[in-house]
Amino acid sequence: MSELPQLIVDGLVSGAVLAIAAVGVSLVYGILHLVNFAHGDYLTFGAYAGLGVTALGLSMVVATVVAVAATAALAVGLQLVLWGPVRRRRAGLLSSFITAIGLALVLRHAIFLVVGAGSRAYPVDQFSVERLGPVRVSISQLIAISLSIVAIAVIGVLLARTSIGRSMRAFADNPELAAVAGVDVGRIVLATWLVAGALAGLAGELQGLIQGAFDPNMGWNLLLPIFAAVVLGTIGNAYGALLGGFVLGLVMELSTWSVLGGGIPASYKYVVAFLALILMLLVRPQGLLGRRARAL
Amino acid sequence: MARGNQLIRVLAAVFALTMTACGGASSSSSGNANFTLKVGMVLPFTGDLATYGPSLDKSARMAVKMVNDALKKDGINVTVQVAGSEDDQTTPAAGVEAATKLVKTDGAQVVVGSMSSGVTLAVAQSVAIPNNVLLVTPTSSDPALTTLKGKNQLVWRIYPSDLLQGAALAQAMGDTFGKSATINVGARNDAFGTALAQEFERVWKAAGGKIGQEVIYNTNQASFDADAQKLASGNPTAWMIADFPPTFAKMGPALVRTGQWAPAKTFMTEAMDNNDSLNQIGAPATDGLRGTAGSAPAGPSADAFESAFKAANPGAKFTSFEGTSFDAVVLASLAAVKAGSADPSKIKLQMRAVSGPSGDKFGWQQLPDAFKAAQQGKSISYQGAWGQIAFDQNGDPTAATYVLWQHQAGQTTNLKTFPFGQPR
Repeated sequence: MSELPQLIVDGLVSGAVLAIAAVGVSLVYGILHLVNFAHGDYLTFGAYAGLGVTALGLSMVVATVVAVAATAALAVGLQLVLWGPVRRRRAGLLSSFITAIGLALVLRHAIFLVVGAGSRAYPVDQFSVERLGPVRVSISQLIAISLSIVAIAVIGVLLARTSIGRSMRAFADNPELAAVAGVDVGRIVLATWLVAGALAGLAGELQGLIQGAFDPNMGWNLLLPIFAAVVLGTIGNAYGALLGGFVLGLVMELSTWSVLGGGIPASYKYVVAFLALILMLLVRPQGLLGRRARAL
Repeated sequence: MARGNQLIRVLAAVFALTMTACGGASSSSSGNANFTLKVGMVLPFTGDLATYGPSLDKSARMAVKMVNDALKKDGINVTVQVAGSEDDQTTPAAGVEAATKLVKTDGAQVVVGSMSSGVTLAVAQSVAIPNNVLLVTPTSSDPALTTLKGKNQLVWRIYPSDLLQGAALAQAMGDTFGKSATINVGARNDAFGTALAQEFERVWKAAGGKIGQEVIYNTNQASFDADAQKLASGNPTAWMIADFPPTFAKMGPALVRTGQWAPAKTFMTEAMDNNDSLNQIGAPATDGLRGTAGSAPAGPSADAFESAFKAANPGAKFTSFEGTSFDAVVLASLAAVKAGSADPSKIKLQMRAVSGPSGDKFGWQQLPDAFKAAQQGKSISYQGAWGQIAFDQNGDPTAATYVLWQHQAGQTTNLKTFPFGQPR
């Protein structure tokens, strides 16, 4: 019976993309209190930046580096020309949120304008599979798995061991205290966008890879599951977002396991995932890694 | 709760703005024979059917031009005007928005669109029917359009219903695999996919066949591997999959990766009958793939239409569905001239009288003669670029021509052409 291990691997692969993207959303929310509705389109931008590089005949390795760097640059650039000024004018949560929706539309349609509406694919063999014991894994999935292991390790080290990572977490926990303790707010904000953008670029490229073919709506379609992963893993907690992404990916794929009453029809995958989210929030409203809120 | 109140206020303001924007003019009508008929197109320029939308828009505009030329030649004082072409993004929400703009702002009396059944159903219910506007869909095949409540003869289609296509597909698969074979059915989770799967399964089982797995899959999901695994399993004789190229570009490779699926044992439908798309998806997922597709009757008329389209639109792609939107424009215009009015409630009463099978026959290359006959109030049997439509009382074509196509070694060829149904 190879169904279960296969579903677990598939779930881990799609979970890895959600996890990497969700870390970015979670960091941005935790530090800037911005619900970045445009994050999905940052992913799309990354996927197409990588595609542009492969179109020049360069390898996927170069494509990955460019996707990550270009999306990080986009995120930092948008902080400088958009989010910084919006923040200085003291835009509220709702105005920023609506600005983000607008940005999402502008980005997506700018991408539509440049690349067209048709679907594209990376020059990676989508059809051959490697057999690892009972599991069949495609080349794309193998690339995705290895890159996400690297990325998650880097995020872990960055947040836990470097001074900028510690400052970011401190700032997310308690901005006033962090500022009093001498944390440079401007630097933290730029670093947050840099990390969130780089991760979005990577997640976008990985999603394009494992999905096979993608169009400019790719990131937008992924936005809801990404937000769900953020909420599942405790809003604003980067480690939680990682965990939330993997849990969500696994729950979605495993819901079709035939042992569970013949398997739930695949079209209800999202329903199952969001039911799991609702149940979890009923039992643990603070998310997987959240502390119980103190009663005031 | 300041934040909550703020949210409610913003939403209320947005809502109020939308309502004022929608409260504009209603469609005008003219009783005499000098009128302008405004035709708007709601088609997929982006999204899953973006391969087809632009070409169908071009052929609809070509029809408008040919109709105007014919009217001028006849000295009939009627003009057909393009109110605009709007993108429905292959999604119902965007389609409703696009149609609303065409009807409310641009004053379209006839809307040609859309391709996807889900979009057409939404546009029919939210825009065409409430605003009393004629909706002619070129390619939507969902049976739900036939039985749509309160449609009041406002909704018509050129492409045959899946009730016809499901049966045609079952017949073609029965001829190939035997009537008692076990078929796994896969379908995209939208109006088109689910309706076609349901109708195919009904006809297949009624003829003594068996259905193995049925997998209805979401088109926007992040991964198709679990769905593919299920669809490939159970060792069936063959597969029937109802999908569009961009989604199948993800589903196909996932099916190949299961190692249990064979494209050569799979039948699909008309949207996949596109050589470029099939080659782009790649041979391992498409080599040997077969399918049915509604088609214009083969012959000199179809060839002439293809050349005319290519001559009028140099560089444009010919997808073979152009006849549908062309005929949608011509039939609505003929009905308007016969009714002597641009009022949709008068046009709709003439739609059957211009589509045959009774009345004098006029091909799409004889538009001046056809419009002269229409102005004299005669019944017309229009032989369109898509063939004879012969609407029934529900606005559905009563007969259709199908081809059985196969994709092999990078080339899609038609194995045979067969008529299905009886014009009545």
